[in-house]
Amino acid sequence: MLEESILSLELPYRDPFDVRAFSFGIDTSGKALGKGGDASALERSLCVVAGIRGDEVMQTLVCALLVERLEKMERSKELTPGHLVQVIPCANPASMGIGRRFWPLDKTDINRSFPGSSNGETTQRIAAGLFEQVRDFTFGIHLSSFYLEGDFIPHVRVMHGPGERGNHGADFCMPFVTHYEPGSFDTTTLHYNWRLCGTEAYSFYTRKTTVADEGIARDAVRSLLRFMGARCLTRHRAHGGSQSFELAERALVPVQVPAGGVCCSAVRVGSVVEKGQLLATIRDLLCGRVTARVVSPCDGVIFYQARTPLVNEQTLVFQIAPDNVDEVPISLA
Amino acid sequence: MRKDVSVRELPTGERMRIVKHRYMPVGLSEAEVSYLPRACIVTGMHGDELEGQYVVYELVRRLRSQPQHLAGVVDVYPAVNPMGIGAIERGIPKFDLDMDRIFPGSHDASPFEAMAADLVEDVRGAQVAFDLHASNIYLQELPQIRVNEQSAQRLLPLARQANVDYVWVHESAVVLNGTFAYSMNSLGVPTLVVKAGVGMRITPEVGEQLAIGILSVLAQAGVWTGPLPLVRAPRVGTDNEVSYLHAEAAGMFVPCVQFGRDVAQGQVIGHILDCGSAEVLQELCSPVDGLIFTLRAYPLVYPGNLIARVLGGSPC
Ligand SMILES: [Zn+2]
Repeated sequence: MLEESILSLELPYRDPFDVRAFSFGIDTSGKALGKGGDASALERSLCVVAGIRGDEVMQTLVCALLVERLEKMERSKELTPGHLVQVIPCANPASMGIGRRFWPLDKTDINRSFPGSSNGETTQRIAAGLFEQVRDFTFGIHLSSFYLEGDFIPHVRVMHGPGERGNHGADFCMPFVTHYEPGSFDTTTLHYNWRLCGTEAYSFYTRKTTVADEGIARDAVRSLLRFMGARCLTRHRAHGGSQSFELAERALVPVQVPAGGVCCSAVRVGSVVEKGQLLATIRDLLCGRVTARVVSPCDGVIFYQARTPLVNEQTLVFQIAPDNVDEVPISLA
Repeated sequence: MRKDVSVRELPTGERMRIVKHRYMPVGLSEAEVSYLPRACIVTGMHGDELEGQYVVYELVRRLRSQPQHLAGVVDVYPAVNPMGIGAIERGIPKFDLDMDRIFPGSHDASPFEAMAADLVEDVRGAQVAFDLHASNIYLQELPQIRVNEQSAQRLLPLARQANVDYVWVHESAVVLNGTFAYSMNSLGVPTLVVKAGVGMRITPEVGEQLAIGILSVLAQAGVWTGPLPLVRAPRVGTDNEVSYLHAEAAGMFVPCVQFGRDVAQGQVIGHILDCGSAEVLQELCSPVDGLIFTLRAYPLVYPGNLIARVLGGSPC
């Protein structure tokens, strides 16, 4: 294992911004990186990035446990020789250190700053510096979070559109592989820019974001190891997992609440629901009166659940993966 | 006349509203004015930008004092992100996306995207629209209009009437298709994006200058027939006439030029200081002869932060 600083920047009245990367690989002479192994002789096969936003704690924990695991696998020669695997557990320590999701000074989202610019604004420079280090890998996995707060069925997302290439999302053996058509604000994400530059990219969504749950994190590490095994980067096969269902994200059925109030949910992420089944009750926050009952519009599985207990009128509280998705085709070149 | 354009309930029972104030010719009914030309003035999209508040005040004060000169309808939307304004937040509280990136909005994502869609629907069909922004708290900006190359032909004649100091014609590469202006322009409503002043402040001169500019555009659209003071002729420039100056050190920026004045190439614009050691970490000089139309307002800087934009020829 080779630990190195890949990006640093002076911060006013704070220690410098310092992004650490952990690289793994065994060269053809059998030497591991950091123990005389030659990184330049390795194929840049996989890069895993997390913590671009400072509240993506679970994502960083997943990477940390992956680092621990890969170090052991490197020692026991379970890594396939000739491949470089790089893990960046926390790409934005300046925000994570003070509990902020976005950049401390101007609240910029670094995952809306790619590919960045080396002589631009601070966050543009960080994005550019980071991108320089993570580009030109065969596979790229970004452990990301959604712009709405909530819990997800674990899944990987593949994006259609420019730079579209092969889809090995099912190799993670997560319950779902979702297919997504990028909108205008997706063009500045790491995923989008990775793909434009020839990397087969995946966004990886864990069940939760802002908490540290070792059980959830270990499940996620196993998904990553299954992908690595299937792509012949390791000799190790993590067993278990699901047969992934490929789903177009626009087939997800949104469930919004008809009134504001306190939302008491009757189901959880992963619950199987039937059309007409009670999903949540909305009560008046002050007098407790039930003002609305939210029922399922279809048969399916709860895919997303908003975390906020207090809801506005029309808040998206659930997305349901419907049983009947035949009418929404997916296509990937 | 005051009207709710979009209303959504909060958990506490409070209602979040986008309100509009309508000004129309005296003695006419709602039905009668529906055939008249209409102008829409939108502001408060970013909750920490308040310059538009005073622009709207100065504009409405003039409309109300001479109602006989109204020949069409003026719809004023003073706070399209009311919760952000109340919380001194640029964005919408409890929502990650910039409001000016979610247009034309949607009815099946979140209440905020639905409200954006309601606003688009309400403005649709107008002869002209303004989206008034201040700068953020970090930068001070001379009153300026930013138009995209693609829509320049249509918008430039209006922008020249708007009494701004500078009209910036952007290359097509920087089109942001989630913005309010992009959505309205593609729906056929010529929409001007004005940026002026600094975040979290009101600069009275900016308000007066822009109120006069809007009136002059209203006159061109046939909405206003009252007397007009002369408007200034703006400088018009493209991307390659703008030079950028960035911080390369972390510390406190202290300027030593006057904002909005011409500077010479090599002239010192300011310094980045390490205050505890009284050391000058960086001296910043203008790369060209030109006009400083953007200047750092917030003293604390990180490496990379924009210090100034200078409108001038390309550096020698
Ligand atoms: Zn703004």
